[in-house]
Amino acid sequence: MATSATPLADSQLANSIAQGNRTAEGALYEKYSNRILYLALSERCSRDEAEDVRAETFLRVIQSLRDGKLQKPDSLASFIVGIALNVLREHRRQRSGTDALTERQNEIDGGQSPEETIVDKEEARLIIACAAQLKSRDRDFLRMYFYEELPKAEIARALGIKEERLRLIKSRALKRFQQIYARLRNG
Amino acid sequence: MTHQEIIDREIVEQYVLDQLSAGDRRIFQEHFFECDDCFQQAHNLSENVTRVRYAAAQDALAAEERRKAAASFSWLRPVLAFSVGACILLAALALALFLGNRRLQVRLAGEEEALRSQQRAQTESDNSKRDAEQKLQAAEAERARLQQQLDELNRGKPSPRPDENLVAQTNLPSVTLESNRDSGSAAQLTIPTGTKTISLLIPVEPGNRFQSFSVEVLRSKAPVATVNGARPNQSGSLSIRVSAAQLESGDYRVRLYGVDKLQRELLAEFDLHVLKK
Repeated sequence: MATSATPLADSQLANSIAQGNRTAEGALYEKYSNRILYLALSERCSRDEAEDVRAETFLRVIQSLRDGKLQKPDSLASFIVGIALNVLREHRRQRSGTDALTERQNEIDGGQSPEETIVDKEEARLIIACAAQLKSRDRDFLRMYFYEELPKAEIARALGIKEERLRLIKSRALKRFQQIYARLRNG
Repeated sequence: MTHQEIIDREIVEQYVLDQLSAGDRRIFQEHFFECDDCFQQAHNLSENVTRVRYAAAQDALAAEERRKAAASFSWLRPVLAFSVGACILLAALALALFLGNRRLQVRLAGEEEALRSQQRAQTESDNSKRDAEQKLQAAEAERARLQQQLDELNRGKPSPRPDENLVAQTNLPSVTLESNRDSGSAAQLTIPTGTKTISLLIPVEPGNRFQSFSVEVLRSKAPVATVNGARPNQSGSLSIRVSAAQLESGDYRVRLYGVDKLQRELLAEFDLHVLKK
């Protein structure tokens, strides 16, 4: 059994799996597992649900590839996304007992905000410490843009800058936030 | 949707902030499954936005003045929380007491009303009793007055035949009967010839225990004469008049009854010895 140092293309992966290559199946998981998990999380699944969706999606994808059901091996990514979204819909139907997934907003669990469900205690402490080290303007911008979701014109007015500069300020503020957080987390 | 379009239109940010249409969202999802760079950007931005939103929700991204003020008064939070909790508890307690007090007041008012009703009924009953007593006293006074008038009339009543009355008054034989149980002797009554009426004088008990008295004169246990409705005169004695023709010489037994409504009570028995000349 030969292995390649360079990642296989999607078409090669699909064909290898169809031929029973277990190594290709591992490579497929390596390549797409994080994406499926992120897809589920971005569709407002909880962490546990996202893990379930990932596992179920892979089972179906592998089985389909083994059975040679993929018509166009080049469109493997689109095939996986389709299966993942189908699994996601089925999960929500089972969970809510309602019909088709039409309004994702309705799927948000009540009580805690999505942010609170994701952030653990240690991370919460780091986030608060990180926010404290930000410049005042960065704090104001991040709050108004990502939390209060104010219109750009209003944010520019509040900060006393031109609207065209917001993109640059956003980029810098996010970068500083990310750097401070990474520094705090790494000790 | 090309990679450059995604960069130019800030599709990654729109995806993370859930601002894409359903179609664009699906297109971008297929894209980041193939594009490592876009997937990494989306993943990083999602994490940062989550953290930023958490910080904002915790007031860590508040304006400088608000942050300072919040920090200055942060020690107040536990105190305020305790105070608010205590206030809520007190309010609940006060409400419970108020409701309980109202129930008691209603119950007390009901009992007071019942007591007032009883008092009213008692007062009415007392008034009725007092009225009845007053009427009874008035009736008795009226009866006494009428009795007195009757006695006066009887005393001053002219006889239809003044000469006979004179004879009767002067010649009327009489005897006072007293209980013979102690003395063991009979009262003696002598009836002269020509006498038409005799008088038996019987002292009776004072008071109003009886409405009237009844007297029976018996000989050998057979009634010879009976007088009903007798009432005592002013000296407290009954003056019973019996026709002399009904009496022969011999021993008699006289019984005195007290009469109250429909009941008759034997009060005394007297022995009487009659001697007719």
